[in-house]
Amino acid sequence: MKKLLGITLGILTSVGGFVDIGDLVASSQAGARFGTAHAWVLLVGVIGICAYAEMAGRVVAVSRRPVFDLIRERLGPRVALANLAGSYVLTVVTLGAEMGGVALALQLLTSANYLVWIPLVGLVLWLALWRLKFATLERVFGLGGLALVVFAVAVFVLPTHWDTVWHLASRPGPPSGTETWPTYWYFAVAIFASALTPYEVFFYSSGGVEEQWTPKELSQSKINVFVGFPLGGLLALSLMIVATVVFHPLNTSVSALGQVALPPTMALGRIGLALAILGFFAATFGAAMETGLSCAYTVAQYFGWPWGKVLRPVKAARFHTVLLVSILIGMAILLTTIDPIQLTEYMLIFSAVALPLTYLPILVIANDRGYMGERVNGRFANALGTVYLIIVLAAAVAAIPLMIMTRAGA
Amino acid sequence: MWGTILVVLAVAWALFGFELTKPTDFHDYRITAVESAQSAYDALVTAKATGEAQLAGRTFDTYVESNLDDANKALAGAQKDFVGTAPVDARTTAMRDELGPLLAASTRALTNLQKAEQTHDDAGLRAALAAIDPIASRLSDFIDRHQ
Repeated sequence: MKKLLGITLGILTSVGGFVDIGDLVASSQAGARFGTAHAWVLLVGVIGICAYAEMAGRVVAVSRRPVFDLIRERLGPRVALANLAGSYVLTVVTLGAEMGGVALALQLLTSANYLVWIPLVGLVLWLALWRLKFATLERVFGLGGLALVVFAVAVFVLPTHWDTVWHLASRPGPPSGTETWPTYWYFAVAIFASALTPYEVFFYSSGGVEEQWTPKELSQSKINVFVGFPLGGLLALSLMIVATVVFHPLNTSVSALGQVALPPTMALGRIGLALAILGFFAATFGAAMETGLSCAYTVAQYFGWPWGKVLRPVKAARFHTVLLVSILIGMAILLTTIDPIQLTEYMLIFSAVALPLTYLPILVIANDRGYMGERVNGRFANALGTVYLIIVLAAAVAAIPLMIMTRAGA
Repeated sequence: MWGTILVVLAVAWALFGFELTKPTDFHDYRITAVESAQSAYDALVTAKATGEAQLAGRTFDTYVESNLDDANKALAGAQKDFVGTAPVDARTTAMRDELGPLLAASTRALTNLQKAEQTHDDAGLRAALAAIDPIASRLSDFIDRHQ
């Protein structure tokens, strides 16, 4: 019974933790402008993150070392340094976007401008990461993120025309006359990147070390990945469907977090709105913690410093310093007054460019018998991993040209 | 390798500079006008949906204030972009003469909506919501013709 509870809790945490500011923005914007024509991209993205998260989990459970640590050892310090630089810059920008999401959720709740909240969000985030235990953080915010299930409920309460939803989903492409193919592909890249954001893998693998996974925990890890992530993907699909129902017929677009909350408000009134805002808060705060920790994990693992929440801060002073500096950088980015939604849009496109840096090394290490012994990738995992590597490369090459051609999806 | 990277960066910088400094043509003006009209339309549609939810008692004041504030900011940004681009010929002058008053009317409609919401004036809110539809419709028509 206790084991079953543990599995359920793990799955629920994965579901709630899957959606972050990138998913909130990309799925809603795509739903408003293209209906469900990008639903297939969500499916492709979820399969990709499942394939690579499973590999990363297996690497951690077998080697008992995090992926970034192994990248440096396996690929050498120069390649790993390039990887670290790209990953760190991107993750710290993502941290800024997530903190902006938290501040925007507080703005919806209080009507005070989000900029007022940023110093407080930074402070609370740092205190939470300093004081609270890893499992507590993961569960509180993962479960809080489940409030986003309100979007799935709204799908059934709103007057959803399922034939239209299916029609759009089964004929990928831009609606005739109003949108273009480059814009369609620009959003496809953004949605794909939102499902495979690099920090997810760094956090997942480092979290596995924090929780001291062994090969015995592999089955639990697989259940969390193969059940939790697809259910999280369904939440992202719900965001897309409600935007299709409410915004797409009006030919309007989504450019603020407040707009994302309109469909559950229309469907369920104040309860729907309250749950949506709670979900935004928990999902973005949880993701801010994950990205903050990921920044510190990658730097500490590259330089071989003591790291992790399992150690007391005094034993991992440099790890906690990087964490604090990353939070300050995230705050500084937001205090330039850049719109957090725009920041998220740019973050997703630059994430797409950096995806190969994250996923190629995982595939290499998961095939290395020196680390993995008998648990190296099988044929299926390799075939899937290779196909996804090609998709990831295509997205990386196309991302910037599409951004320029479409004026960032305008 | 560093030489290649420098050449690529120099070419990218030159293209960026050219794009920033080249004079506005009809196509540029049309894009700016349509984007401004779309932003104004989005702001009005969002404000209307928010106002209707407020009238139906389905939302919180803080959420409504925040949403209307966002809509106002989006509209102000659209107006700033539009005013900042000068028409280049007769066709673009005609576009300016059509869209300029529509953006001004959008601003008035949003301001009235915000005032009615702040004073909890339901009759004023209904009147402000009713005023949005014809403006949104004309903006939508403008977008369709010039997209």
